[in-house]
Amino acid sequence: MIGNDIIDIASTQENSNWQRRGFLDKVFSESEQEIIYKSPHAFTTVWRLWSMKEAAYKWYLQKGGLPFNSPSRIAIRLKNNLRGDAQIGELAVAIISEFTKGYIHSYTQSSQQNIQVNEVFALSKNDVNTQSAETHKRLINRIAIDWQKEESCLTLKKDPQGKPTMYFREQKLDIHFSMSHHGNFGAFSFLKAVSES
Amino acid sequence: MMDKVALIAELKEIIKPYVQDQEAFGKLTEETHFITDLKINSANLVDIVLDTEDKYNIEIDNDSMDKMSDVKSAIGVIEEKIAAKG
Repeated sequence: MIGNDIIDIASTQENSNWQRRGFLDKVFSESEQEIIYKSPHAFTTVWRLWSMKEAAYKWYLQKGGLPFNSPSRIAIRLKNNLRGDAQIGELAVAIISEFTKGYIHSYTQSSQQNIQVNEVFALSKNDVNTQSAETHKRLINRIAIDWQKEESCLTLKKDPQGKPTMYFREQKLDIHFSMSHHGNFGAFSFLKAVSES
Repeated sequence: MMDKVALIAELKEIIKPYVQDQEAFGKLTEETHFITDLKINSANLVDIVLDTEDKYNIEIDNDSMDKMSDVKSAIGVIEEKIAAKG
């Protein structure tokens, strides 16, 4: 299971106002708000915590969790500038966040013996169809290389449960991945098992 | 109680600034899903909840927010909260 989330910083500055009345209370617990207020970079901290919640939520859905909208149901604790963890009910997961001037990318960290691949890339256009199509294409391209499969035979489809799944021809591949796009950035994370054990 | 057609028209005004799929917005029905159909990003879903609270002077708690995934359920939450105000 894996979850990731990308935040385009410029888009967020343009389209979201975390300082609007009520926003922090809807999204963050008291202890999370305390982290934000104590931080010298409140904007970055707000959206880092947000992206951690999103990544954790996608991981949770892959584990079969029931959907919900309220971000305050996910509790975040930070360990350092890179690491933290998320708690949803009884489930907990470690999360890593990477920052550049352009984006914040958060992804869950697998505790198993897996190689995890995380990639961020620029998109050519900032509209949903392009964002989604290019992100899919990048993931398929990378999976084709790593699994040595013919790229034209790989397709991304929703399985009967509505979960995005990678298919090789008509065969469902057991690959855990997560995709995200926002503004001018796309990102994916996936797991490659090292051994069967 | 406000009639449903008027309520949907008002809800459309609230969500309009956050919609990323205009084609789906043009074909909006009660079944239209905010995220999967209109491609509204989840941070803006919080904005929609806050805008709805402001417009109707209601409070939308976590449980109600969890229900607000599509037009129909959002209308249901608004009606319920307005009714609770008496």
